[in-house]
Amino acid sequence: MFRRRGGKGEGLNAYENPQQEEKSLFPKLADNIFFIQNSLVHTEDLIIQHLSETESLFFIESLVDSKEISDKVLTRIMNRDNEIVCDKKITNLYEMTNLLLDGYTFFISESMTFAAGFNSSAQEKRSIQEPLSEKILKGSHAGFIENLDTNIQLVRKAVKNPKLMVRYMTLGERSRTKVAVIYIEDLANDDIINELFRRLSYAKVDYIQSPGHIQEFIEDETYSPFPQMLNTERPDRVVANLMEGRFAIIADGSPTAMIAPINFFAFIQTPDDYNNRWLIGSFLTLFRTMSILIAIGLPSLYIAVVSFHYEIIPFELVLALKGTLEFVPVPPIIEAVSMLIILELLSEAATRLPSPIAQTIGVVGGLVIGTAVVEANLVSNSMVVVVALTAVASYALPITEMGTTIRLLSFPLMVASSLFGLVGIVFGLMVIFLHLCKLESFGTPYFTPLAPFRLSENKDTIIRLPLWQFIKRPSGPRPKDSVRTGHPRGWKRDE
Amino acid sequence: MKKGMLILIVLNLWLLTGCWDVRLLKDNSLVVGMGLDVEDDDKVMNTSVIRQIKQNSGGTGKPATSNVIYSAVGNTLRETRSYIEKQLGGKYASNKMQVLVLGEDLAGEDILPIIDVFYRDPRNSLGAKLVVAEGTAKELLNMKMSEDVFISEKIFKALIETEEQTLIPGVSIQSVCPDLFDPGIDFALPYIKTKNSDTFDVAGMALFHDTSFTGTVLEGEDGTVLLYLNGEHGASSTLSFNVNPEEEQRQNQFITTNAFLKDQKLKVKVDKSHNVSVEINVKLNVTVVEYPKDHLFDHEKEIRLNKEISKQLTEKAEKVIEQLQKANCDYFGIGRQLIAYHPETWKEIDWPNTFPSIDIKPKIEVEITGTGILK
Repeated sequence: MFRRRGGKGEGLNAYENPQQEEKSLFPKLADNIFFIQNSLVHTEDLIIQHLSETESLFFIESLVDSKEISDKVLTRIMNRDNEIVCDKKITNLYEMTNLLLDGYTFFISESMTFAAGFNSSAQEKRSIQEPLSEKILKGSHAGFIENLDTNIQLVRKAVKNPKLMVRYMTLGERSRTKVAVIYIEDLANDDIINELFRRLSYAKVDYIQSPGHIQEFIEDETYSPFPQMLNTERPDRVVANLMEGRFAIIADGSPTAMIAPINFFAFIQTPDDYNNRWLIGSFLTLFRTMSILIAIGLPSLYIAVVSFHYEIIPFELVLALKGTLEFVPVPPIIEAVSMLIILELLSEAATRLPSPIAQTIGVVGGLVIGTAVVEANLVSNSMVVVVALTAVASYALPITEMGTTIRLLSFPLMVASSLFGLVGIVFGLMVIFLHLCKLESFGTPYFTPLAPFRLSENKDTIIRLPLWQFIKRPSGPRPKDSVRTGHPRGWKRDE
Repeated sequence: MKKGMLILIVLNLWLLTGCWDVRLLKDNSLVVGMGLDVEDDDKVMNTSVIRQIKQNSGGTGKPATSNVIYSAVGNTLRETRSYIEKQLGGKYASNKMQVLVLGEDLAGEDILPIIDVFYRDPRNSLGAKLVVAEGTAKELLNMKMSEDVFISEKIFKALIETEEQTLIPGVSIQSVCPDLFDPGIDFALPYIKTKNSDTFDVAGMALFHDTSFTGTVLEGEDGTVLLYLNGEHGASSTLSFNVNPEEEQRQNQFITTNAFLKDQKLKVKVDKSHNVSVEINVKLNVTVVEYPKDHLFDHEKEIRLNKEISKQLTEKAEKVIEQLQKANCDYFGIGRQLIAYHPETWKEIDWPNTFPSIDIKPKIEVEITGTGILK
């Protein structure tokens, strides 16, 4: 299944529970203080509160909630009898250092053989909002936030399944980012999960900011223009994919979850398709499929037509096109590329700027550049229409990553069509389709269910059939249990 | 790495081709109509209507266009084209041509050698309508504008309209091709008459024998009858009949109907001495659109009208066939049927000489199926 390249495959546990050095607690308080200060490089926000001669409280000021300390930690210390009630009993000083960085408060007393840890971390997080880039009309409007625990909570709340597995690991030698892999134990294929951890075990880097960082380390083909993992900020999308036997990777500090193994068509589906009735869902999916074709092919088709095969378009249209093209000084390829570059610049500028100024960009781009360029005869009217349609079509895709990929691929296709006309488009698309058919996501075919073709799984690719017809799970991620439902409409048969 | 370099080099080689076969739309001069005439010394005169776009229109709004007409004389069509290209500031592009007009004299000769180039060059507009013009094609196309519409478009639209009314057959350069090469079938082209300096009229069907115009033109309803006899039909056709000659007011004498072809059968019979006889049975459904005398709810009257109209149409059909045989235009493709089903007879007889004298019996049955909202 997987091509195992040479090299040492370190055990899974090596990275799941990174090997820690052992250093047990010193009997003397002063030694402990000295050790902790040293291992935290005498940082000034490390507070060591001396409660008495032999007792001290340790915490990192910037990470803890002072209310927690005064309410919980101090009360418990004061009210202890023989046994102290604490969250964690730690004897290893290295482990204690790590927990301090997680926002724990430690109480060390010479009378105890362990350090008592209290979870007092400050929960600074924004509220749950709908993700900006993946809005939907109907259905859950929750989105992931930058807090890992909240994100897992969102997933767990949607699937109250005891088999939901969350496996933590720490990636990034220096950033020590907490990363969670979520999957459903009795659905996800063991081989794929093992392969994931095998690949993750090689991801020795010093800093990980988001799953996007990890993506490039574990993706099958990083040189492919197509993303082989689905990045989403929607818990419902994650849950739906977990239920098909896929896994999700979430990293602390990032609202993005990565789903794999994924196929091409997952990028054109939205939760909206499933939250609406099937006819509406089909209608929308069909339009999105069309928008892919427009985004990838329309500019090149236009170029091919006006520079090679204008006889294939109707007479009136030829005259109209000729009318707009007649006095444009540049060949169609230059026209198209320059217009698309303008468009990309505008959209890039509008993304980076604060929204009040971004509106100005819209006016400048749409009105000034759009009309002036045509009036100055630099670009033809028809090309503006084509480019605008292409842009709208590519922005209609629910995952922006795929929209950009498609827009990007239209450039080589345009060059091909300007050199060879329709033949160029055919060859260009052939190369793209060959690549799509060959591409794999964690060893599963990327272009399934079209290649390899599985008719019964085409129920939600181009159109979406009623949900009760989805009796089996897609075979792409090779789930352990392939049956999804019984007969939800059995009542009709049993009448 | 080496592999990568190789791929890069191969990909870049494509860029070196330099778009050698590019044909930019803006560099081509669109020929929208072409007229062909024969000159005194048997050379071909090509009259091309070329659509040009005026500079002042810029890129915005509706482009201002005009028709420019160029003529050139040469031995072959390609020769005339290169002469025109010399006068023209662009490439001569006849691949969006709408009409090809043949002058009457030119059509009278063998037309195949002249339009051969249209079948040979894959880029040509095979959908262009092929018509015969009274007089010369140059005269017709030189109207430039007919009633404020460009002449080629006007001809094209007039042809489409008359086709829908079942007055002329729907022919294009493509559709006459098999008939041109087939000895067993002849064809007819629309025939256009010039009325005055800026109007014309699609008069009827110009009958062809083999590959040349016979000089016979079926005008008006004759054409309709011929098309129905051959099983061809447009959207509908309007036919009027004088069914009450005894009425005083002329309008009362007539019934006007819209006819629809229901069924057409052509039977070719050959006896042992190779005598060919043909029976054509046509059934038409008509709806009455104008009949001031009314009272069609009366079944007797309806039957009388059915019979009367059938009789008149059959008589008309006999006359049409007489004309057809006189012109020796085997429009029904009887010869083709002989080749297919009676090859011995076909070998035995000389078809062009036999056709004018064979027995063709037409029979048209008409049934009134609708009377509008009045009975």
